Amino acid sequence: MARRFFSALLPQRAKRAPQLSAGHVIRLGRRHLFEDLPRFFASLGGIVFAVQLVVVQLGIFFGFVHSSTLLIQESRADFWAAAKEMQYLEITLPVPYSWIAKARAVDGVAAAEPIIIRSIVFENSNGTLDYGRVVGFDPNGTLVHLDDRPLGDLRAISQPGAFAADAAQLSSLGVSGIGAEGTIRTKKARLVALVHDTQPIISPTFLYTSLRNAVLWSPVMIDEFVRDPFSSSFDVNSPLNFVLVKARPGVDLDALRSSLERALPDSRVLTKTEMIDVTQRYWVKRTNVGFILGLCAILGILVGMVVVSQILYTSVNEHLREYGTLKALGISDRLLYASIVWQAVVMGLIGFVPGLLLGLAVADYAQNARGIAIEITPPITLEVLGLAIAMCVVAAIFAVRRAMTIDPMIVFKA
Amino acid sequence: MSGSQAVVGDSIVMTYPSEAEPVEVLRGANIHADHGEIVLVDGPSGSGKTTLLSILGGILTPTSGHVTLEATEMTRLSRRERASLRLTRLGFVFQGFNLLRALTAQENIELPLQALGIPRVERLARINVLLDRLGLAKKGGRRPAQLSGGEQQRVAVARALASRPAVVLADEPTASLDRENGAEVMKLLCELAREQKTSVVIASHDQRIAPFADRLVRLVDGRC
Repeated sequence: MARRFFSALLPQRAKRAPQLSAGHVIRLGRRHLFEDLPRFFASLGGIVFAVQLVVVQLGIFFGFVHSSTLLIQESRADFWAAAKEMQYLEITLPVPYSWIAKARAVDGVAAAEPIIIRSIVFENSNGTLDYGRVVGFDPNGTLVHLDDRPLGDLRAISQPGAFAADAAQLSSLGVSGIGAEGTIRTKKARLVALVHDTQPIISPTFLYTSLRNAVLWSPVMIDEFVRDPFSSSFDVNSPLNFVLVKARPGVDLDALRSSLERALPDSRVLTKTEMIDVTQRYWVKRTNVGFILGLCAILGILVGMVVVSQILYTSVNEHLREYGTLKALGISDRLLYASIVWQAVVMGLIGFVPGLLLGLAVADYAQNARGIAIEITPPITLEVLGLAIAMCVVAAIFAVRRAMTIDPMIVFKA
Repeated sequence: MSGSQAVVGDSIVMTYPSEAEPVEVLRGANIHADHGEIVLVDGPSGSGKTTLLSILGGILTPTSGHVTLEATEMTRLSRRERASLRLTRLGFVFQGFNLLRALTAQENIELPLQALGIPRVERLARINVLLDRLGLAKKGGRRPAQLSGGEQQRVAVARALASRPAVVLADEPTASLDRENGAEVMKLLCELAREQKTSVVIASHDQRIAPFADRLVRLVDGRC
């Protein structure tokens, strides 16, 4: 019984003639693919363009997502504590400075440091305005880390009116370099250091400075009336945005999180990884940016599919009689379709390499010209390779369908 | 069916659907070919010769009637089984040669042998013999476009015979050739087929073919 069942599942080889092996399918596909080299190269151009488009779009997408959390990724904190309403890095309600002391008092906490993130308008010496975010932190602290090799003196940001910015943002700020001056809320602001790879692609320019400068430059908002709403200098009553917490070595992080949540009422205590996830999710899911970049990547794939599809369809149309002949001779349909799919896969593979190189060149240009990180990492490269092949295979469906409908009677027509 | 009969078409009716009214091309055609026999199906253009050949080759399924290839009733087989039978027991020669233009003459002949799983050494041996017999010994590496019409049809003949089928079905094999080449192709096809006891059913209205045939079958008004 069992034998009959399983033998029914197995192909009935004995009744069928042997068929062409994969090698023969490849040979046939290769001949069809390369028999008209100018056409092959023209079609390859379309695939290269599509792959390049997908690589760059995905690179921008991942670069954008990655860059949105650079400050969090580079921090040395185990936990980020904020108001329970916190949406992501740049949207949260203020919490009192007293949280620092409360966090430090929790057993297992090695360090707790504040971060203030506020919106500001920077006016350069020419009167040009730039919208920015002031990121205030303790320059003598250990939990906020920007750059191991900054240009200028990063510790100088503790001086009144001093700030650092990402080197890629000089043109946005409209300043030439270190020493440039401007004003923020009528107060003098001076660029004292430049850091690298810290600026989110999509956010306003981040100005890194001391807590005191940050409070001085931040506009007072009605919902930030904590204790002294009109305070223009940093003190224990000043509102914060986040409390960064470093655990002592060996401490149970889950237990520490619970302790922090108990010590900080109405708080949201996230691990660094969770904070990264929350921020990236916000950009991807709740803003149009993620949607648009995703859409562009999909459009790139569609362009590639149309190009490959058209090429294969035309190729099958040009070889209708040959496919009909093979069908008439008794060659199995599956092997004919396999030869079409093989052509698609080869086109995807061959088109992928120059497409990727072109994408890398575009990424290099974007990084050098505007400091925009188009992230083309090995996993993304593999992802695009898979996408390119999948794109070509899906595109082959129309050609395969065309081959399926070939009437073998075509062979009898002169 | 006699044991010597390679292919038998019995009471074959073929009706093509049409918007106006169905077109009955074959109205009970009967045909057979013994092993090694050369049968010429003669008839005017549009008489259904090609349709009959397609049905004998399992490419078309008749509206009614039976086709038996050696001991196998073809009309009962699935499409895939018929394809398999074509590969193993049938050969085809077409009016338009129908060689794969991307392959060389040798590769065109080799294709069905590869599909049959015949070892390379034997494949090459068969191909070399055929190419030699067909006067193409030095042209095996050429693509179809580099061959004359007569040479292409000879390659097609070699492809049809290489797998040593029971039956070769040839549709107007000389129609695209001049008198001399047509005669040469027919001579070679019939010689080789007789040597390997392969039946040949030729559909043609070319009277020059008649001397090569063992038997003439006339297809008139869908009947023979």
